[in-house]
Amino acid sequence: MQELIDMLNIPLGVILPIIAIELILLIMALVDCIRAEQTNGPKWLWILVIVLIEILGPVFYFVFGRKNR
Amino acid sequence: MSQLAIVWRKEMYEAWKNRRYIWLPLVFILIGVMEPVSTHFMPQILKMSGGLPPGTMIQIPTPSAASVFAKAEAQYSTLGLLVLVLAFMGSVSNERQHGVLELVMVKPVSYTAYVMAKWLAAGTLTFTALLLGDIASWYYTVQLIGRLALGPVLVSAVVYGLWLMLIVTLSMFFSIVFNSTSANAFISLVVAVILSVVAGVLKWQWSPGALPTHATDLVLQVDAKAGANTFSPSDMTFSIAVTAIIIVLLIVSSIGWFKRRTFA
Repeated sequence: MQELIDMLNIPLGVILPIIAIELILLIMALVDCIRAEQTNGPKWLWILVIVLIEILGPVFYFVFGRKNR
Repeated sequence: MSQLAIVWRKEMYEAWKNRRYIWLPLVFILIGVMEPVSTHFMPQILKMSGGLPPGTMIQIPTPSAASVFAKAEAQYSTLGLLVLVLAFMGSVSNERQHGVLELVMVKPVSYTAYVMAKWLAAGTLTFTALLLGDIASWYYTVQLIGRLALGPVLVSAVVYGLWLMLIVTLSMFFSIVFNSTSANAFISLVVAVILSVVAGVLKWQWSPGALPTHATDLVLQVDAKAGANTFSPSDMTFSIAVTAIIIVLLIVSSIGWFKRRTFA
């Protein structure tokens, strides 16, 4: 990762907020998913979706994965 | 009026509880920031991918700040709309299926207040997300590409927001008409596509589908480097008026359908 950042010569001030926002989305969805008693479909699948699909993964979980009451 | 406020507050609380209030603005910020960032780092990305044979001369003209912002904002018509429709597709039909609707409607809440409050809550969230996204996009454009005045950007966000609101209103309407959320999402998106294709192909500058173009033209117009300018205030006013009328008609027919369907 450090190599990549050096190679691209990315100033941290630019990239850090973006990484932070993506992390907030990911962690929020993960916490919600793990704490939920039940999800629509297998929980492990949703965890994979949240972690592996950038940005849209957490969105899909919040829209389709949550079981309201 | 107080009925409206109560249902509105209930809607906002629910949007907060299912985290819609956090993820929607965050996603809009991410979408808005992608274009300036990838434009800025394009030379490095090309160099790193190393796919170019030696001796190839590539000249990438530095795009103007206004055009980068315009491109970023245009993303809200694809990814942004998809995310919005996903967020609002079940607004009424889910409540009907889970029996929440009965719980709300036994209280002295009028149909009009219920539908209006839902619409206002959706509007609040849509405009919040779009404004935050556009401001983030503007900030990154200024930091990475070049100067760009904030004023036209904000006006453009409001015009663009009206286009998004049209589709959100449509999705609310279909949510009352259909029980199926996926049918609702699909039809809403198809209508959005048809509207913008029709506006583009037939050059109907007054139509709602031309609103995104007007919004980005508003920003491009500030920028002398962008060249040929197509911005026309009268076309924009016309298309704003037409869109506003359609939105009002949609809300009125939503209320009508809602009355007929709910306890029939």
